[in-house]
Amino acid sequence: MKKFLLIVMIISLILSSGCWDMIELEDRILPYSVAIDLKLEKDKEQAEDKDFFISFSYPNINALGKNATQEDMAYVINANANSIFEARDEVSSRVHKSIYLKHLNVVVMSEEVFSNERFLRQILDGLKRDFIINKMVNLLITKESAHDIMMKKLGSKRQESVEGLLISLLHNEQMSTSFTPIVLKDFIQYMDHKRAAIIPLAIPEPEISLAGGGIFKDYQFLGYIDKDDNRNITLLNNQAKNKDIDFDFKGATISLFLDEIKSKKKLVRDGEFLKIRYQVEMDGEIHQYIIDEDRRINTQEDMEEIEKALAKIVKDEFTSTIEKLQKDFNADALGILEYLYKFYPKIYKKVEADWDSIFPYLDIEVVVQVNIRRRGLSDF
Amino acid sequence: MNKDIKISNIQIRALIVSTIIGIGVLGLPNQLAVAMEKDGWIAIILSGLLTIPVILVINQIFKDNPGKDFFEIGESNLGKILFTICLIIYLAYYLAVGAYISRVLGEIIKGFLLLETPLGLITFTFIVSIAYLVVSEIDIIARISYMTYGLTIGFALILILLAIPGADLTNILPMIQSDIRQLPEGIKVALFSFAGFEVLLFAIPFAEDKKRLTKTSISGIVIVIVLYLVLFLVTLTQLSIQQIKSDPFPLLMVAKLINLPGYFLQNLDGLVTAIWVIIIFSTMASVYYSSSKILSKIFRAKSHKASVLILIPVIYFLAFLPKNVIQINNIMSNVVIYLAMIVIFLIPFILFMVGRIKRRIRQ
Repeated sequence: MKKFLLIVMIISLILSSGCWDMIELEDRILPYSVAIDLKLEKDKEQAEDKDFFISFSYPNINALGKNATQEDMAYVINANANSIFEARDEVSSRVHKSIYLKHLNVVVMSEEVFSNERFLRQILDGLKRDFIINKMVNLLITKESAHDIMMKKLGSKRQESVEGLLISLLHNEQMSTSFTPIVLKDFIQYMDHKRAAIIPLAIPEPEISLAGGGIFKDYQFLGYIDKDDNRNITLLNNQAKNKDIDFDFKGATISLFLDEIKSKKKLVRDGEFLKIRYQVEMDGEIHQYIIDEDRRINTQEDMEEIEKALAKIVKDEFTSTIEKLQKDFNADALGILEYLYKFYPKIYKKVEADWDSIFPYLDIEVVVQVNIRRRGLSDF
Repeated sequence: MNKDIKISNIQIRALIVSTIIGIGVLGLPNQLAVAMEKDGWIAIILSGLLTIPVILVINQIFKDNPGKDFFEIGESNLGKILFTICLIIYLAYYLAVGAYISRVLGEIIKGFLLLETPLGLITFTFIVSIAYLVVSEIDIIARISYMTYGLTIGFALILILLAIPGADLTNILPMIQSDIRQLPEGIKVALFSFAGFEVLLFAIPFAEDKKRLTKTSISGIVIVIVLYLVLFLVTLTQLSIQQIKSDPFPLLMVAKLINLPGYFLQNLDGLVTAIWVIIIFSTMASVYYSSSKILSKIFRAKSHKASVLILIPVIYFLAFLPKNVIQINNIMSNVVIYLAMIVIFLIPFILFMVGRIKRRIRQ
């Protein structure tokens, strides 16, 4: 008995040694971004039953390292297909290695794809359902063709060697507030909570940049917001901490750096008419003013005057953004319904069904508290 | 009964913990969310507490009949024929659980780790390697459990630590919103995830220190309650309730969402699945051991080694009975749940009562 088992075990070791069907890392194509467009006009006849034109961009491993044998850093390969998975299958006759989507990082889609609700729901379901695909994949929207962004990326001189330009921009180490990266999991979570999501907008000309974003509610595309609105929403949602601001103060431009921005929302009135108050606090530091004996910033009164002026400007900015969300888009990008759900479940149950007709008339007040702490190396 | 086999109390606790934590842990947040939304933690605590009386009953059975093992007690209390029927129910339960575990394990490994390996091969190698282990006696299994016990707790701790950066604690709110009528369904789901402690029936006779056994086994359950609670709450902090409801394995999703800055760690689902396979290994070992032991007792064989071999094709065949995932989730797991109710709660209780009544009559 023991001998028999031993023999079985030894034979099974041969199977489990793992080398006989091993795939080396360089034998796999690891796309890091995929672009999805509607099918091109010129392909209409060839690919009649296909919805999309899909391009994968993947790094060329042979061009990495010290003894690189090839020059091109990245390749783009495309196909007409109904889904990312069909496209992967489609291009397999043209690439010499298998495509493995585990490290997919960016999905760029054109406005046309995003504004078709059925397509959007289908594509997101595919990404979510797959065992392998990373659920922290970033989403990007572009006004024209997503494929163009891919091709533009190839020519970009600032191409990062391994990760590619889009993903390194999205990493946002530069702390830009003009766009806010959003990942698949968060997008779906926002939709679940009836919260509007903002997908960063990629602009191909004159060079690839990310600014502003497309606003979505219930998987429907509503329109674009610019980078200032995006920044205000990001700040109100506590997703960013700082911003720069310039304004006119006593006939000269004053430039300030605002830091430690914290925003808190609070339900201050329930009953028939809800009222939400945003309490925004920030620290300031003066970057630049003017060399002028008459306009020194020396006293507490000076500071308070600047603080007052600044608070008004910032408050107006926030209010205009909130108004835009309420009146133009009717999109709850601030997560107020989610806030009610979490902290006031009873009110949530009452308002949830009619939220679309309540939100535009919701009383939202912004209170800004600025504390200027530093004035730099000058007392002028 | 072999008197040479000895299991220490720490090993018994490890045996309980690593037998209970198994196939259910990955899907538990999902099932609880479907049943009770964000209040699943209430079901975990309640059903954990519900298992404690059963453990007390099992311990009492062995205290009433010192020096006897489960089979001797059963035979003397219920009679040969009735007890054989009970054993057949036990066997059905263990075979169903074994088949369920092997199939789900195969499906998950195929999905996350070995995309191109045939499902049959994964399941078969798993069953065969377990078979090699369970040819030995329960003390060996207890020792293996002790090894995976640390791994189980370490697995949970690491997952929690790595999940902290992405956690949104307000996601746990709102608490206590669910209807009281949802509670039975929640308890049914959670109770099944505590199945496995019935391995005590086979382990207690070999325990070294019988005095503190009750305490040890209850502390095992408490560890499981805490682990389940923490894992459920961690899942809540990461995903919205709708996502948990629609994802069959939310804990693997949590592992997938781990994203430490600078690409340091990403896509940990592979690692988590690999660790989870080892955790399942000890669960399956207990289940397989119990079923082969019972089979050998039904046929009055001296050793259970032959029945281990016989059961390999049986479990393999049963594992492939369900056609698809929906059948596995609905039919197979329901069969297991109802059998578990009989096996875990009813039969030990009957054994205990009959033993007590017989003793009264004798006195």
